[in-house]
Amino acid sequence: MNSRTERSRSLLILFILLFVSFAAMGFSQKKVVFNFKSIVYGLVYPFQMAGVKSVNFVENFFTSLKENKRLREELAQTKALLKEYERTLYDFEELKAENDRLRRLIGIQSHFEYDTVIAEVVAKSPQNFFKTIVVNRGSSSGVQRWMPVIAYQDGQKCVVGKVIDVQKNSSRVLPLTDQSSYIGAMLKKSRHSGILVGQGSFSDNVLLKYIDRNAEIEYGDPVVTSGMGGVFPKGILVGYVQSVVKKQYGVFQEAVVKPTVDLSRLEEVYIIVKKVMEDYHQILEE
Amino acid sequence: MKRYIIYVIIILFFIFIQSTPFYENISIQDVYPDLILISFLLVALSLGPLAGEIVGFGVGFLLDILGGGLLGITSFTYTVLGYGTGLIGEKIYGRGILFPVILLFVGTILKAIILSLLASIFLKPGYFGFFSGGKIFLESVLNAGIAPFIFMLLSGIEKRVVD
Repeated sequence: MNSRTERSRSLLILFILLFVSFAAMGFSQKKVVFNFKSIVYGLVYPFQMAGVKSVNFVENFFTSLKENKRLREELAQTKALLKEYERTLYDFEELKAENDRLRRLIGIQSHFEYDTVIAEVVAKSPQNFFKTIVVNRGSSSGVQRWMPVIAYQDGQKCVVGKVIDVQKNSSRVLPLTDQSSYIGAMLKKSRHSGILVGQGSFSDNVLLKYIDRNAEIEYGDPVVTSGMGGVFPKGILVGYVQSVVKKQYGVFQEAVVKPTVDLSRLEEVYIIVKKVMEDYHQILEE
Repeated sequence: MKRYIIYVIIILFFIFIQSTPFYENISIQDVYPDLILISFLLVALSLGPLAGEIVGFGVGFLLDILGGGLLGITSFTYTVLGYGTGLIGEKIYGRGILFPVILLFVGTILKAIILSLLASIFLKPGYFGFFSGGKIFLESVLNAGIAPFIFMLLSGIEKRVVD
C-alpha cells in the first residue's frame, strides 16, 4: 500500500513538475496561451519528415538506376571523344616536331657558305653489297649527278656521300662507306692528304689511303675533306682515325676512319648545289 | 537527509566546474563530458523516482537560469530522466560497474531526444541540432567512459556519510 501511495505521489509530483516546466517554456517564449497547433505540428513534424525522407529514398533509388544508365552512355561517348582528341593532339605534336625540325634545318642552311638543297631521306637500298640512299629532291630542284651530300648530326656538319643518279623529283646518293666511293680527304692536324675509300659490306669504317708514310697519325685524329677532286668543299668533317695500317714496305700508309655520320639515323641531308666537274669523277672511278 | 545534501553539493560542484572556462579545454572535437548529467543520473539511481524527479527539476531549472536559454527545457528533460532513472534504480538490484556505463550512454541519447523534441516545439519545428555531426554519440561515449569513476566516487562518499 505504501509503495502504491508513494508511486502515486511521485507520479503526481512528476506531472506537476513537468507542467511547471512546460509553462515556463511557454512563458519564456512569450506565449501566454499555448498554441496547440504548433505543439501538434512540432510533434507530428518529425514523423512527417521521416515519412517524406523514406518516400524520397525509394524515389531516388529508382531515379538513380535510370540516371546510372544515362551516365554510362554519356561516359562511353565522352571516352570516344577523348580518344579522338588524343589522336588529334598526337598529330598536332607530330606536326609541331616536324615544323621545329624544318625550321632548324632552314636555320642551319642559312649558316652554310654554299648553296644547298634540303632533301629528305625517303628510302634506303635493301641490298647488302650496294647500299644507296634515296632522297626526295631531283633535277627539278637543281640537283645534278656527282653533287656532294652532307648532313648535320650531333651539331656537326659531316660528309654523307655523292649523288649518283638523278630523276626529276628524287635522287640516289652513294654513301661514303660504299666500296665505289672515293673522296679526297686529309688529316686535319698534319694536313696530309689521301683518298677516302669505302669498304662496303666489310665494315662501316672507311679507309684513308695513300697517306705519306712519314705522316704522324694518332688515334682520334679528325679527318676532313681536302677539296681535291672538285666535289666536296674543303674542311667538311669525315670522321676520326681509329687505327693506322703501316706496311713493312711502300711509300704510303693507311688509316682506318670511323665516319661521323650515322647513316641509320639519317632523316634529311643537304645537297651542295655547285657545278661539278664530271671529268674528275671519271678519273677517280677509273 | 545528510545523503541528499551531500549529493546536491556534489551536483552543484560539478555545475560550478562545468561553468568555468577551463573546462572547455578538456574536449574532444569540441565535445566534453557532461559531469552534471553523470552525477545527477547516478544520484537519481540511488535516491529513487521521487527524489530523482525533484532533484532533476531543481538541477534542470538552475541550468536553464544559468544558461539563459529556453526556461524550462532542461528542467523538463531532467525531471523525466530523474524519474525514469529512479524507477530503474528501484527495480534493478546488485548492479555492477557496467551498469553506470550503459545508463549514461542511453541517458545521454535520451537527453538529446527529449531536448530536440522540446526545441522543435518551442524554438523551431524540426530542430534536431543536438544530433548534428554525430556529436551526441561522442558525448554518450565520453559520459559512459567517465561514469564508472564518478560512480565509485559517489559510492565511496555514500559509504562514509551513511556509515
